[in-house]
Amino acid sequence: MESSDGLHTTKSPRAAAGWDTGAKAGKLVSELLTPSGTRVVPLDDVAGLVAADDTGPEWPHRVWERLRAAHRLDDTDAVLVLRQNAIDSMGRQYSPAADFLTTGLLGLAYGAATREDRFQPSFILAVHQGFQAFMVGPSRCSIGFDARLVDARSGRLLSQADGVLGQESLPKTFQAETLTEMPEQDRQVVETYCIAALRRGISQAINDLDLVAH
Amino acid sequence: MRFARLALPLLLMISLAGCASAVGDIVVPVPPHVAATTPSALSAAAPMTIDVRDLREAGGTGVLPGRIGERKTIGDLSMGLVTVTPLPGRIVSNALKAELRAAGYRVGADGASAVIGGGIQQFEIHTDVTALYWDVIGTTAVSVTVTKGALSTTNHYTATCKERTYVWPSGDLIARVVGTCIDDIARQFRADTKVAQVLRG
Repeated sequence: MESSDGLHTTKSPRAAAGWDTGAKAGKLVSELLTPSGTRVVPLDDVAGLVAADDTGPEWPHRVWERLRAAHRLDDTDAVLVLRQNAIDSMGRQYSPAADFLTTGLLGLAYGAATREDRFQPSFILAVHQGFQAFMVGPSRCSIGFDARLVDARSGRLLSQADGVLGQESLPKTFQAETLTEMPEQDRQVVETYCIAALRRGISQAINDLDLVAH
Repeated sequence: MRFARLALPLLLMISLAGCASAVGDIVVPVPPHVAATTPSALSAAAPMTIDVRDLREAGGTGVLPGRIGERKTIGDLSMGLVTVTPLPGRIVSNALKAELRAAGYRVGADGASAVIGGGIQQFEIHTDVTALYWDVIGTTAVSVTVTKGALSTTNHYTATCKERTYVWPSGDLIARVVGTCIDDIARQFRADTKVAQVLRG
């Protein structure tokens, strides 16, 4: 979380929000694709698929290899992988970070994994107050990721989308400078809009990957 | 000279702010439905007080209240999401209230002889775009349940509405499309003899 009034900026360390973002991401993919006839089934306990510092172009293939070795793709046509990027408070994305989501499509599953075998999602909440709000607009929650669609049988890359950004403006001002200082009501507002940002990003990724007929 | 140096960035900011308001997420106020003055099947029952509740909305993970769709342009590029106010459940219930009042009923919870509620199955807009124009298409599907004593009926109403623009799918145009769909839903409700039978019974 980053809080700024134009003169003073406070950046707080990443805090666990407890939103179960991995499960929500899988649910979002299912909600967005099921109406078009795509079957999405949960993948449980997917862990340690790719190292956090594995930033080469073959990382989606390595994800596929590990899933295939674990027989998680036996009834699947394609795998959707969402790899979260580190972003700043303006929504600019850097090279891939440690956390990512894995979603299987068209007959398989969704799941989540990190190098520590435990999913740790990150959103960036930029709180704008006073002059800062006047200059750059309202507070925003952002999440960024790269998306890959991989053929489940061959491991071939079917499509990709880089730097997908989900972002939502929050309709209120916040007084707290860190997430832990926020009252519960404000934390619920933050969760609502950050999950909405995630939905927006995943919807954009699905669109960019050409998963839905236009 | 100093004024000119200050004025130019200020003018750029103002002009960019103006651009930002045309493209991007928008909130569309939907005007309330105005009931028709033609005779209604609802008038068949004796005057009474009816409690009309906001229709339930299904929602979804990360779906913000009132968000009903997206404007897109060539290449399937998003030009921002569309949110309506009031919420869809309230928009529809207000339309039902307007029709009931026009048919001679009182609307309120106190002393109500009948209750009307229901759910929103679909309330969305999307744009079909070509090089020459946008079509803004609204789709509405609701179920309305009318209960009076031991009698009850649930009826489903759907409406699809479209308006074309060669300029830009503005908030005003979206409001008109939504309003047209609501008018259609209200017309179906007004003409529904099953509703009239329950209210009469």
